[in-house]
Amino acid sequence: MTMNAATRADLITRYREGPLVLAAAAAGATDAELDSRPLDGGWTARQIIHHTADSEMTSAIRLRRLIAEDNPDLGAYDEELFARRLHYDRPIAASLAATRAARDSTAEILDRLSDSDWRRAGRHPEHDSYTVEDWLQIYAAHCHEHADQLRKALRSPLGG
Amino acid sequence: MPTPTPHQNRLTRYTALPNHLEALLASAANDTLNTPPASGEWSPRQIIHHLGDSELMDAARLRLIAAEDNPEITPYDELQFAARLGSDRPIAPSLAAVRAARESGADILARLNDHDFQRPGRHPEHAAYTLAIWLEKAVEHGESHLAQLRAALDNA
Repeated sequence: MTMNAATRADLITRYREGPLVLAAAAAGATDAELDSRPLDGGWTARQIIHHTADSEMTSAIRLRRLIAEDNPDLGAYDEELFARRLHYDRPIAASLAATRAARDSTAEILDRLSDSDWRRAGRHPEHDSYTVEDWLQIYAAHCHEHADQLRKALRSPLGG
Repeated sequence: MPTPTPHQNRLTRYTALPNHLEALLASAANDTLNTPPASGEWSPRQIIHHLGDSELMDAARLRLIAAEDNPEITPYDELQFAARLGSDRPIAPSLAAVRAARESGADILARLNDHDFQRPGRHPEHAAYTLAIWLEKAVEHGESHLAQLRAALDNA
């Protein structure tokens, strides 16, 4: 897959907007609402916010390795273990701020990439090929997807 | 008031770094940010971006070691990062990244017990790399760059 500059610019805009969309989806929710378990047994709104922050900080590092290192190992992590062991009952403010800061600082790097930078690639255990463009395609949607999931979690309360 | 333990002291210093950085930069003139103190050394702007990048990296390492069993920690080349990641970027997003990485990290650290701090990771450059050692290194790393930044701004 190769993108033209206009497609990339649209995805970078979406990438920058993601944290605002996520924060807006959570705005005004009470602690009880944040902790209410969706009917399908999936993550609560609070867990979704912590997952997004943890994932976005890792993603920010992956982008930096892709640009600064040659064919880097991008690593993987177990998001279910993270959710169980990293105290996802914490307050959400720091995780919303971390999502925003990881993306704002990374977007400044994206704005300065050359055409050849966008073709740089790394090794990811779950992907055959993983270029900077693949990275952008995945993460431009990541906050928006979790914002949708979060709105559903807030709408289907089972009560804790 | 009881004397804080060395561990509590490190947690306090871990949390304090963003305040020290922002206070130092509040009084720095914008035209001093690009001046390295000596040829071949990092400018204030490069030091701040290095801290933004390294704090995001440290946040990821903290989570790996606290959540996974003896995870592999992959080092990175900070000189390559500085050379290739656009050091003309504005500093505000990197400062915000330092603050957010440490505030979210502090929320996790405050909930870990003594046993958790002995959890290990595998770091190719360190024979032992527990969460307690990670914290000690993070605190020292931040403070040494704070001192480097202060000296660079004084020199500019």
